[in-house]
Amino acid sequence: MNKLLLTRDGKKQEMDSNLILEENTVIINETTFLFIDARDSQENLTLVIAPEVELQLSILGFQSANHFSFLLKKDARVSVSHFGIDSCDSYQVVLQEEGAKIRYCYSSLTRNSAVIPIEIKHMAQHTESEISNHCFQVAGDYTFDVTGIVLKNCAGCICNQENQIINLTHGKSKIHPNLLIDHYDVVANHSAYVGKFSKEVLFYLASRGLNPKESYVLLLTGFLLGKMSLSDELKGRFENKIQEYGGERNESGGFSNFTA
Amino acid sequence: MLEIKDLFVETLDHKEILKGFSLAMKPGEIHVIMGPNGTGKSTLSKVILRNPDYVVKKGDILYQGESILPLSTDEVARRGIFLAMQNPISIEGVSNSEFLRTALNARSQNKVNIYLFMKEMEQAFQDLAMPKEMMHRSINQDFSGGERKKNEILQMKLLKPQLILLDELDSGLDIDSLKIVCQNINDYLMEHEEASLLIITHYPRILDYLHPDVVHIMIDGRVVKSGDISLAYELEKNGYHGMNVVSEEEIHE
Repeated sequence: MNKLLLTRDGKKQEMDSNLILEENTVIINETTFLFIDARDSQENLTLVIAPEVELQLSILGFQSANHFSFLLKKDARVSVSHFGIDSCDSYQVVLQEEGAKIRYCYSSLTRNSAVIPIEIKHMAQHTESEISNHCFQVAGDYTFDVTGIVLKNCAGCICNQENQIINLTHGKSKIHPNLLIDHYDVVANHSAYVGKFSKEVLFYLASRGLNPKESYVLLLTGFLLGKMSLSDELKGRFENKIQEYGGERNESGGFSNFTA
Repeated sequence: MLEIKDLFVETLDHKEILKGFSLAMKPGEIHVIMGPNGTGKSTLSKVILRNPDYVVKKGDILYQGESILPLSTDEVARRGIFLAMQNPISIEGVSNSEFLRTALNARSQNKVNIYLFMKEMEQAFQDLAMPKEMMHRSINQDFSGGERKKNEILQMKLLKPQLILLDELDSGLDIDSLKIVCQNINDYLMEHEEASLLIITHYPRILDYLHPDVVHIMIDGRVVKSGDISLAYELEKNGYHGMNVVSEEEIHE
Protein backbone atom coordinates (compact mmCIF):
# COMPACT_ATOMS: atom_id res chain seq x y z
CA MET A 1 0.00 0.00 0.00
CA ASN A 2 1.20 3.49 -0.80
CA LYS A 3 1.65 5.74 2.20
CA LEU A 4 1.81 9.45 2.68
CA LEU A 5 2.70 10.81 6.09
CA LEU A 6 1.59 14.35 6.89
CA THR A 7 3.10 15.97 9.96
CA ARG A 8 3.53 19.42 11.33
CA ASP A 9 7.00 19.46 9.75
CA GLY A 10 5.91 18.51 6.26
CA LYS A 11 5.26 15.45 4.09
CA LYS A 12 6.98 12.13 3.82
CA GLN A 13 6.06 9.77 1.02
CA GLU A 14 6.37 6.06 0.50
CA MET A 15 4.62 5.88 -2.81
CA ASP A 16 5.01 4.07 -6.10
CA SER A 17 6.35 6.02 -9.04
CA ASN A 18 2.92 6.16 -10.64
CA LEU A 19 1.80 8.52 -7.89
CA ILE A 20 3.18 11.99 -8.30
CA LEU A 21 3.42 14.46 -5.47
CA GLU A 22 3.87 18.01 -6.73
CA GLU A 23 3.79 20.68 -4.05
CA ASN A 24 0.40 20.04 -2.45
CA THR A 25 -1.05 17.94 -5.25
CA VAL A 26 -1.05 14.16 -5.58
CA ILE A 27 -1.73 12.96 -9.10
CA ILE A 28 -3.19 9.46 -9.29
CA ASN A 29 -2.60 8.01 -12.74
CA GLU A 30 -3.18 4.33 -12.00
CA THR A 31 -5.61 2.39 -9.91
CA THR A 32 -4.15 2.36 -6.43
CA PHE A 33 -4.52 2.01 -2.68
CA LEU A 34 -3.27 4.94 -0.65
CA PHE A 35 -3.09 5.50 3.09
CA ILE A 36 -2.60 9.01 4.43
CA ASP A 37 -1.42 9.20 8.02
CA ALA A 38 -2.02 12.77 9.15
CA ARG A 39 -0.65 13.69 12.57
CA ASP A 40 -0.91 17.18 13.93
CA SER A 41 -0.78 18.50 10.36
CA GLN A 42 -2.47 21.45 8.69
CA GLU A 43 -2.10 20.83 4.98
CA ASN A 44 -4.13 21.73 1.95
CA LEU A 45 -3.81 18.64 -0.19
CA THR A 46 -5.36 18.12 -3.60
CA LEU A 47 -5.77 14.70 -5.16
CA VAL A 48 -6.34 14.56 -8.90
CA ILE A 49 -7.70 11.24 -10.10
CA ALA A 50 -7.09 10.59 -13.79
CA PRO A 51 -9.75 9.26 -16.17
CA GLU A 52 -10.92 5.68 -15.54
CA VAL A 53 -8.64 5.32 -12.53
CA GLU A 54 -9.83 3.85 -9.25
CA LEU A 55 -8.54 5.11 -5.91
CA GLN A 56 -9.07 3.38 -2.57
CA LEU A 57 -8.02 5.92 0.02
CA SER A 58 -7.83 5.59 3.79
CA ILE A 59 -7.05 8.59 5.95
CA LEU A 60 -6.26 8.63 9.66
CA GLY A 61 -6.17 12.13 11.08
CA PHE A 62 -4.92 12.74 14.60
CA GLN A 63 -5.25 16.26 16.00
CA SER A 64 -5.05 17.43 12.41
CA ALA A 65 -6.71 20.26 10.53
CA ASN A 66 -6.17 19.33 6.91
CA HIS A 67 -8.26 20.23 3.95
CA PHE A 68 -8.50 17.57 1.26
CA SER A 69 -9.64 18.45 -2.25
CA PHE A 70 -10.53 15.78 -4.79
CA LEU A 71 -10.75 16.39 -8.51
CA LEU A 72 -12.22 13.45 -10.40
CA LYS A 73 -11.82 13.12 -14.15
CA LYS A 74 -13.94 11.06 -16.54
CA ASP A 75 -15.14 7.73 -15.09
CA ALA A 76 -12.76 8.00 -12.13
CA ARG A 77 -13.90 6.04 -9.08
CA VAL A 78 -12.91 6.96 -5.55
CA SER A 79 -13.68 5.34 -2.21
CA VAL A 80 -12.51 7.23 0.87
CA SER A 81 -12.49 5.97 4.46
CA HIS A 82 -11.50 8.95 6.57
CA PHE A 83 -11.25 8.64 10.34
CA GLY A 84 -10.25 11.54 12.55
CA ILE A 85 -9.45 11.72 16.24
CA ASP A 86 -9.68 15.18 17.77
CA SER A 87 -9.16 16.44 14.26
CA CYS A 88 -11.11 18.94 12.20
CA ASP A 89 -10.20 17.79 8.71
CA SER A 90 -12.52 19.00 5.98
CA TYR A 91 -12.96 18.00 2.37
CA GLN A 92 -14.20 19.15 -0.99
CA VAL A 93 -15.00 16.97 -3.98
CA VAL A 94 -15.29 18.14 -7.56
CA LEU A 95 -16.76 15.59 -9.95
CA GLN A 96 -15.44 17.36 -12.97
CA GLU A 97 -16.12 14.97 -15.80
CA GLU A 98 -18.83 12.57 -16.84
CA GLY A 99 -19.18 9.26 -15.03
CA ALA A 100 -16.99 10.20 -12.04
CA LYS A 101 -18.10 8.58 -8.77
CA ILE A 102 -17.13 8.99 -5.14
CA ARG A 103 -18.10 7.21 -1.96
CA TYR A 104 -16.83 9.12 1.06
CA CYS A 105 -17.13 7.86 4.66
CA TYR A 106 -15.93 10.42 7.15
CA SER A 107 -15.95 9.67 10.86
CA SER A 108 -14.77 11.79 13.71
CA LEU A 109 -14.22 11.01 17.37
CA THR A 110 -13.64 14.26 19.15
CA ARG A 111 -13.74 16.31 22.28
CA ASN A 112 -12.87 19.51 20.40
CA SER A 113 -15.22 22.16 19.11
CA ALA A 114 -15.20 22.39 15.33
CA VAL A 115 -17.14 23.42 12.25
CA ILE A 116 -16.48 21.02 9.39
CA PRO A 117 -17.21 22.43 5.92
CA ILE A 118 -17.82 19.74 3.30
CA GLU A 119 -18.68 20.39 -0.31
CA ILE A 120 -19.50 18.04 -3.17
CA LYS A 121 -19.78 19.64 -6.59
CA HIS A 122 -21.21 17.81 -9.60
CA MET A 123 -19.99 19.53 -12.75
CA ALA A 124 -20.82 16.87 -15.32
CA GLN A 125 -23.57 14.44 -16.29
CA HIS A 126 -23.95 11.01 -14.70
CA THR A 127 -21.67 11.75 -11.78
CA GLU A 128 -22.42 10.14 -8.42
CA SER A 129 -21.63 10.94 -4.81
CA GLU A 130 -22.54 8.94 -1.71
CA ILE A 131 -21.36 10.84 1.35
CA SER A 132 -21.58 9.70 4.94
CA ASN A 133 -20.42 11.90 7.82
CA HIS A 134 -20.47 10.59 11.38
CA CYS A 135 -19.22 12.21 14.56
CA PHE A 136 -19.06 10.88 18.10
CA GLN A 137 -18.84 14.02 20.17
CA VAL A 138 -17.36 13.49 23.61
CA ALA A 139 -17.30 17.20 24.43
CA GLY A 140 -17.39 20.64 22.83
CA ASP A 141 -19.61 22.01 20.06
CA TYR A 142 -19.58 20.39 16.66
CA THR A 143 -21.09 21.27 13.29
CA PHE A 144 -21.23 19.49 9.95
CA ASP A 145 -21.84 21.99 7.17
CA VAL A 146 -22.45 19.74 4.18
CA THR A 147 -23.35 21.08 0.76
CA GLY A 148 -24.11 19.05 -2.33
CA ILE A 149 -24.18 21.05 -5.56
CA VAL A 150 -25.43 19.89 -8.94
CA LEU A 151 -24.89 22.41 -11.71
CA LYS A 152 -27.26 23.11 -14.58
CA ASN A 153 -27.30 20.56 -17.40
CA CYS A 154 -25.80 17.85 -15.20
CA ALA A 155 -28.47 15.26 -15.93
CA GLY A 156 -28.49 11.79 -14.39
CA CYS A 157 -26.50 12.70 -11.31
CA ILE A 158 -26.87 11.04 -7.92
CA CYS A 159 -26.03 13.29 -4.97
CA ASN A 160 -26.70 11.67 -1.60
CA GLN A 161 -25.53 12.65 1.84
CA GLU A 162 -26.14 11.09 5.26
CA ASN A 163 -25.00 12.83 8.44
CA GLN A 164 -25.11 11.83 12.10
CA ILE A 165 -23.73 13.22 15.33
CA ILE A 166 -23.95 11.18 18.51
CA ASN A 167 -23.59 13.64 21.32
CA LEU A 168 -22.37 12.26 24.62
CA THR A 169 -22.68 15.54 26.51
CA HIS A 170 -24.84 18.62 26.52
CA GLY A 171 -22.59 20.40 24.01
CA LYS A 172 -24.19 21.83 20.92
CA SER A 173 -24.33 19.76 17.75
CA LYS A 174 -25.53 21.03 14.42
CA ILE A 175 -25.88 19.60 10.95
CA HIS A 176 -26.56 21.79 7.95
CA PRO A 177 -27.45 19.39 5.14
CA ASN A 178 -27.68 21.54 2.01
CA LEU A 179 -28.58 20.45 -1.50
CA LEU A 180 -28.29 23.05 -4.25
CA ILE A 181 -29.70 21.35 -7.33
CA ASP A 182 -29.95 23.26 -10.58
CA HIS A 183 -31.20 20.49 -12.87
CA TYR A 184 -34.36 18.40 -12.83
CA ASP A 185 -33.16 14.91 -13.77
CA VAL A 186 -31.21 14.28 -10.57
CA VAL A 187 -31.47 11.99 -7.55
CA ALA A 188 -30.56 13.88 -4.38
CA ASN A 189 -31.18 12.85 -0.78
CA HIS A 190 -30.01 14.06 2.56
CA SER A 191 -30.52 12.91 6.12
CA ALA A 192 -29.36 14.28 9.43
CA TYR A 193 -29.54 12.92 12.98
CA VAL A 194 -28.28 14.47 16.18
CA GLY A 195 -28.81 12.64 19.43
CA LYS A 196 -27.83 9.66 21.51
CA PHE A 197 -27.84 5.98 20.71
CA SER A 198 -31.51 5.03 20.91
CA LYS A 199 -32.80 3.29 24.02
CA GLU A 200 -34.46 0.63 21.84
CA VAL A 201 -31.05 -0.28 20.43
CA LEU A 202 -29.49 -0.37 23.90
CA PHE A 203 -32.35 -2.58 25.16
CA TYR A 204 -31.92 -4.96 22.23
CA LEU A 205 -28.21 -5.37 22.94
CA ALA A 206 -28.84 -5.68 26.68
CA SER A 207 -31.43 -8.39 26.02
CA ARG A 208 -28.58 -10.43 24.51
CA GLY A 209 -26.46 -10.00 27.62
CA LEU A 210 -24.35 -6.94 26.80
CA ASN A 211 -23.91 -4.47 29.64
CA PRO A 212 -24.19 -0.73 28.84
CA LYS A 213 -20.46 -0.25 28.35
CA GLU A 214 -20.08 -3.30 26.12
CA SER A 215 -23.03 -2.04 24.09
CA TYR A 216 -21.46 1.39 23.78
CA VAL A 217 -18.17 -0.02 22.53
CA LEU A 218 -19.93 -2.13 19.91
CA LEU A 219 -22.18 0.70 18.79
CA LEU A 220 -19.37 3.24 18.77
CA THR A 221 -17.08 1.07 16.67
CA GLY A 222 -19.92 0.26 14.28
CA PHE A 223 -20.98 3.88 14.08
CA LEU A 224 -17.50 5.16 13.31
CA LEU A 225 -16.07 2.36 11.18
CA GLY A 226 -19.04 0.26 10.06
CA LYS A 227 -19.47 1.92 6.68
CA MET A 228 -15.80 2.10 5.81
CA SER A 229 -13.93 -0.07 3.34
CA LEU A 230 -10.76 -0.87 5.23
CA SER A 231 -8.07 -3.52 5.06
CA ASP A 232 -7.98 -5.80 8.10
CA GLU A 233 -4.73 -4.13 9.16
CA LEU A 234 -6.17 -0.62 9.06
CA LYS A 235 -9.44 -1.70 10.61
CA GLY A 236 -7.53 -3.17 13.55
CA ARG A 237 -5.43 -0.04 13.79
CA PHE A 238 -8.46 2.26 13.76
CA GLU A 239 -10.21 0.09 16.37
CA ASN A 240 -7.14 0.29 18.57
CA LYS A 241 -7.18 4.07 18.22
CA ILE A 242 -10.79 4.13 19.43
CA GLN A 243 -9.84 1.94 22.38
CA GLU A 244 -6.84 4.10 23.24
CA TYR A 245 -9.05 7.15 23.07
CA GLY A 246 -11.65 5.54 25.29
CA GLY A 247 -9.13 4.87 28.03
CA GLU A 248 -8.41 1.74 29.97
CA ARG A 249 -10.67 -1.21 29.37
CA ASN A 250 -12.44 -2.16 32.53
CA GLU A 251 -13.36 -5.64 33.69
CA SER A 252 -16.65 -5.64 31.82
CA GLY A 253 -14.95 -4.66 28.57
CA GLY A 254 -16.08 -1.03 28.55
CA PHE A 255 -14.02 2.16 28.33
CA SER A 256 -13.34 4.26 31.38
CA ASN A 257 -13.50 7.55 29.45
CA PHE A 258 -16.96 6.92 28.03
CA THR A 259 -20.05 6.48 30.08
CA ALA A 260 -23.41 5.36 28.80
CA MET B 1 -38.34 -22.41 35.91
CA LEU B 2 -40.48 -19.27 35.88
CA GLU B 3 -42.99 -18.12 38.44
CA ILE B 4 -44.82 -14.83 38.11
CA LYS B 5 -46.75 -13.88 41.22
CA ASP B 6 -49.60 -11.37 41.19
CA LEU B 7 -47.70 -8.89 39.03
CA PHE B 8 -48.84 -5.29 38.71
CA VAL B 9 -46.91 -3.16 36.21
CA GLU B 10 -47.28 0.35 34.89
CA THR B 11 -45.52 2.53 32.35
CA LEU B 12 -43.35 5.47 33.34
CA ASP B 13 -46.35 7.74 32.79
CA HIS B 14 -48.39 5.62 35.23
CA LYS B 15 -50.56 3.71 32.79
CA GLU B 16 -51.42 0.38 34.41
CA ILE B 17 -50.80 -2.53 32.04
CA LEU B 18 -50.44 -5.73 34.04
CA LYS B 19 -53.03 -6.12 36.77
CA GLY B 20 -52.38 -9.16 38.88
CA PHE B 21 -50.72 -11.41 36.30
CA SER B 22 -49.70 -14.86 37.56
CA LEU B 23 -48.06 -17.81 35.79
CA ALA B 24 -45.99 -20.85 36.76
CA MET B 25 -43.82 -22.79 34.30
CA LYS B 26 -41.83 -25.91 35.05
CA PRO B 27 -38.56 -26.81 33.31
CA GLY B 28 -39.17 -28.23 29.84
CA GLU B 29 -42.72 -26.90 29.58
CA ILE B 30 -44.19 -24.95 26.70
CA HIS B 31 -46.77 -22.30 27.60
CA VAL B 32 -48.76 -20.06 25.30
CA ILE B 33 -50.31 -16.69 26.01
CA MET B 34 -53.10 -15.52 23.73
CA GLY B 35 -55.14 -12.36 24.11
CA PRO B 36 -56.62 -9.38 22.30
CA ASN B 37 -54.44 -6.49 21.13
CA GLY B 38 -53.32 -4.15 23.89
CA THR B 39 -53.89 -6.59 26.71
CA GLY B 40 -50.26 -6.52 27.88
CA LYS B 41 -48.72 -9.63 26.28
CA SER B 42 -45.67 -7.89 24.81
CA THR B 43 -45.34 -5.76 27.92
CA LEU B 44 -45.11 -8.95 29.95
CA SER B 45 -42.17 -10.18 27.84
CA LYS B 46 -40.39 -6.83 28.21
CA VAL B 47 -41.00 -6.77 31.95
CA ILE B 48 -39.45 -10.23 32.30
CA LEU B 49 -36.44 -8.82 30.43
CA ARG B 50 -36.47 -5.87 32.87
CA ASN B 51 -37.07 -3.16 30.31
CA PRO B 52 -36.60 0.12 32.24
CA ASP B 53 -39.69 1.64 30.57
CA TYR B 54 -41.91 -0.40 32.90
CA VAL B 55 -42.28 -0.19 36.66
CA VAL B 56 -43.28 -3.19 38.76
CA LYS B 57 -45.65 -1.90 41.42
CA LYS B 58 -46.49 -5.18 43.09
CA GLY B 59 -45.73 -8.89 42.82
CA ASP B 60 -42.59 -10.78 41.84
CA ILE B 61 -40.93 -12.69 39.02
CA LEU B 62 -38.94 -15.72 40.10
CA TYR B 63 -36.57 -17.42 37.68
CA GLN B 64 -35.04 -20.67 38.87
CA GLY B 65 -36.24 -19.80 42.36
CA GLU B 66 -34.73 -16.30 42.55
CA SER B 67 -36.35 -12.94 42.04
CA ILE B 68 -35.10 -11.20 38.93
CA LEU B 69 -36.69 -7.87 39.78
CA PRO B 70 -33.42 -6.42 41.18
CA LEU B 71 -31.53 -7.39 38.00
CA SER B 72 -30.82 -5.30 34.91
CA THR B 73 -31.72 -6.49 31.40
CA ASP B 74 -28.22 -7.73 30.59
CA GLU B 75 -28.01 -9.61 33.89
CA VAL B 76 -31.33 -11.33 33.20
CA ALA B 77 -30.16 -12.26 29.70
CA ARG B 78 -26.88 -13.64 30.99
CA ARG B 79 -28.81 -15.85 33.41
CA GLY B 80 -30.38 -17.56 30.42
CA ILE B 81 -33.58 -15.73 29.46
CA PHE B 82 -33.97 -14.89 25.79
CA LEU B 83 -36.63 -12.75 24.12
CA ALA B 84 -37.26 -13.17 20.40
CA MET B 85 -38.78 -9.78 19.76
CA GLN B 86 -41.93 -8.95 17.86
CA ASN B 87 -40.18 -6.22 15.86
CA PRO B 88 -36.43 -6.84 15.92
CA ILE B 89 -34.64 -3.57 15.28
CA SER B 90 -31.77 -3.03 12.87
CA ILE B 91 -28.40 -1.70 13.96
CA GLU B 92 -26.30 -0.18 11.23
CA GLY B 93 -22.57 -0.77 11.29
CA VAL B 94 -22.62 -3.69 13.76
CA SER B 95 -22.38 -7.03 12.00
CA ASN B 96 -24.30 -10.10 13.12
CA SER B 97 -21.10 -12.04 13.74
CA GLU B 98 -19.40 -9.25 15.70
CA PHE B 99 -22.51 -8.76 17.82
CA LEU B 100 -22.95 -12.44 18.63
CA ARG B 101 -19.27 -12.92 19.40
CA THR B 102 -19.44 -9.97 21.83
CA ALA B 103 -22.61 -11.38 23.39
CA LEU B 104 -20.99 -14.81 23.84
CA ASN B 105 -17.83 -13.25 25.28
CA ALA B 106 -20.01 -11.31 27.73
CA ARG B 107 -21.43 -14.59 29.04
CA SER B 108 -18.17 -16.45 29.37
CA GLN B 109 -15.04 -16.09 31.46
CA ASN B 110 -12.95 -17.19 28.49
CA LYS B 111 -12.88 -15.61 25.07
CA VAL B 112 -14.85 -17.47 22.44
CA ASN B 113 -12.75 -19.53 20.05
CA ILE B 114 -13.27 -17.76 16.72
CA TYR B 115 -12.92 -20.91 14.61
CA LEU B 116 -15.50 -22.85 16.64
CA PHE B 117 -17.78 -19.83 16.75
CA MET B 118 -17.71 -19.39 12.98
CA LYS B 119 -18.38 -23.09 12.42
CA GLU B 120 -21.34 -23.05 14.78
CA MET B 121 -22.65 -19.88 13.21
CA GLU B 122 -22.35 -21.26 9.70
CA GLN B 123 -24.24 -24.36 10.79
CA ALA B 124 -26.99 -22.23 12.34
CA PHE B 125 -27.33 -20.22 9.12
CA GLN B 126 -27.60 -23.46 7.18
CA ASP B 127 -30.20 -24.89 9.60
CA LEU B 128 -32.34 -21.81 9.18
CA ALA B 129 -31.91 -21.71 5.39
CA MET B 130 -30.35 -18.25 5.59
CA PRO B 131 -27.56 -17.11 3.25
CA LYS B 132 -24.21 -17.24 5.07
CA GLU B 133 -23.31 -13.77 3.78
CA MET B 134 -25.85 -12.39 6.24
CA MET B 135 -23.50 -13.08 9.12
CA HIS B 136 -21.30 -10.21 7.96
CA ARG B 137 -24.17 -7.82 7.36
CA SER B 138 -25.30 -5.25 9.91
CA ILE B 139 -27.84 -6.58 12.41
CA ASN B 140 -31.19 -6.84 10.59
CA GLN B 141 -30.17 -4.10 8.16
CA ASP B 142 -32.17 -4.50 4.93
CA PHE B 143 -33.52 -7.84 6.22
CA SER B 144 -37.12 -8.73 5.36
CA GLY B 145 -39.61 -9.27 8.19
CA GLY B 146 -39.13 -13.04 7.90
CA GLU B 147 -35.34 -12.79 7.84
CA ARG B 148 -35.43 -10.71 11.01
CA LYS B 149 -37.48 -13.39 12.77
CA LYS B 150 -35.11 -16.09 11.58
CA ASN B 151 -32.22 -13.99 12.83
CA GLU B 152 -33.80 -13.95 16.29
CA ILE B 153 -33.88 -17.74 16.33
CA LEU B 154 -30.31 -17.85 15.04
CA GLN B 155 -29.29 -15.77 18.05
CA MET B 156 -31.24 -18.11 20.32
CA LYS B 157 -29.38 -21.13 18.93
CA LEU B 158 -25.99 -19.56 19.61
CA LEU B 159 -26.73 -17.97 22.98
CA LYS B 160 -28.32 -21.17 24.33
CA PRO B 161 -30.90 -19.81 26.79
CA GLN B 162 -32.91 -21.83 29.30
CA LEU B 163 -36.10 -19.77 29.06
CA ILE B 164 -37.18 -18.60 25.63
CA LEU B 165 -39.87 -15.98 25.12
CA LEU B 166 -41.29 -15.79 21.60
CA ASP B 167 -43.24 -12.58 21.04
CA GLU B 168 -45.39 -13.07 17.94
CA LEU B 169 -42.70 -15.03 16.16
CA ASP B 170 -45.19 -16.14 13.53
CA SER B 171 -45.97 -12.62 12.30
CA GLY B 172 -43.94 -11.88 9.18
CA LEU B 173 -42.99 -15.49 8.52
CA ASP B 174 -44.24 -17.27 5.42
CA ILE B 175 -45.48 -20.87 5.65
CA ASP B 176 -42.17 -22.49 4.72
CA SER B 177 -40.14 -20.18 6.95
CA LEU B 178 -42.46 -20.82 9.89
CA LYS B 179 -41.90 -24.57 9.48
CA ILE B 180 -38.13 -24.12 9.33
CA VAL B 181 -38.06 -21.84 12.35
CA CYS B 182 -40.28 -24.14 14.41
CA GLN B 183 -38.19 -27.16 13.40
CA ASN B 184 -35.12 -25.34 14.73
CA ILE B 185 -36.90 -24.52 17.99
CA ASN B 186 -38.05 -28.11 18.40
CA ASP B 187 -34.52 -29.38 17.71
CA TYR B 188 -33.22 -26.95 20.32
CA LEU B 189 -35.77 -28.15 22.89
CA MET B 190 -34.84 -31.79 22.16
CA GLU B 191 -31.20 -30.94 22.73
CA HIS B 192 -31.88 -28.85 25.85
CA GLU B 193 -34.52 -30.81 27.73
CA GLU B 194 -34.70 -28.36 30.61
CA ALA B 195 -35.35 -25.37 28.36
CA SER B 196 -38.82 -23.84 28.52
CA LEU B 197 -40.78 -21.86 26.00
CA LEU B 198 -43.29 -19.06 26.52
CA ILE B 199 -45.08 -18.28 23.26
CA ILE B 200 -47.05 -15.08 22.75
CA THR B 201 -49.28 -15.35 19.71
CA HIS B 202 -52.59 -14.37 18.16
CA TYR B 203 -53.07 -17.49 16.06
CA PRO B 204 -52.93 -21.23 16.77
CA ARG B 205 -51.07 -21.87 13.49
CA ILE B 206 -47.67 -21.86 15.23
CA LEU B 207 -49.01 -24.36 17.75
CA ASP B 208 -49.34 -26.94 14.97
CA TYR B 209 -45.54 -27.09 15.10
CA LEU B 210 -44.71 -26.20 18.72
CA HIS B 211 -46.93 -28.34 20.91
CA PRO B 212 -47.81 -26.49 24.11
CA ASP B 213 -48.50 -27.97 27.50
CA VAL B 214 -50.64 -25.06 28.65
CA VAL B 215 -52.54 -22.29 26.88
CA HIS B 216 -53.45 -19.12 28.80
CA ILE B 217 -55.93 -16.48 27.75
CA MET B 218 -54.88 -13.04 28.90
CA ILE B 219 -57.36 -10.20 29.14
CA ASP B 220 -56.76 -6.74 30.56
CA GLY B 221 -53.41 -7.52 32.11
CA ARG B 222 -54.12 -10.87 33.74
CA VAL B 223 -54.75 -14.54 32.93
CA VAL B 224 -58.48 -15.26 32.85
CA LYS B 225 -58.47 -18.84 31.64
CA SER B 226 -55.95 -21.67 31.16
CA GLY B 227 -56.22 -25.02 29.49
CA ASP B 228 -54.68 -27.35 26.95
CA ILE B 229 -54.22 -26.73 23.22
CA SER B 230 -57.93 -27.22 22.59
CA LEU B 231 -58.43 -23.83 24.23
CA ALA B 232 -56.46 -22.17 21.42
CA TYR B 233 -58.57 -23.83 18.73
CA GLU B 234 -61.76 -22.99 20.58
CA LEU B 235 -60.60 -19.40 20.75
CA GLU B 236 -59.92 -19.33 17.03
CA LYS B 237 -63.40 -20.68 16.35
CA ASN B 238 -65.39 -18.52 18.75
CA GLY B 239 -63.26 -15.41 19.33
CA TYR B 240 -62.75 -13.80 22.73
CA HIS B 241 -66.35 -12.72 23.03
CA GLY B 242 -67.64 -16.20 22.28
CA MET B 243 -65.41 -17.65 24.99
CA ASN B 244 -67.16 -15.67 27.72
CA VAL B 245 -63.81 -14.48 29.01
CA VAL B 246 -64.30 -10.84 28.21
CA SER B 247 -67.07 -8.30 28.37
CA GLU B 248 -68.32 -6.37 25.34
CA GLU B 249 -66.75 -3.26 26.88
CA GLU B 250 -63.29 -4.85 27.15
CA ILE B 251 -63.40 -6.06 23.52
CA HIS B 252 -63.95 -2.53 22.27
CA GLU B 253 -61.47 -0.95 24.64
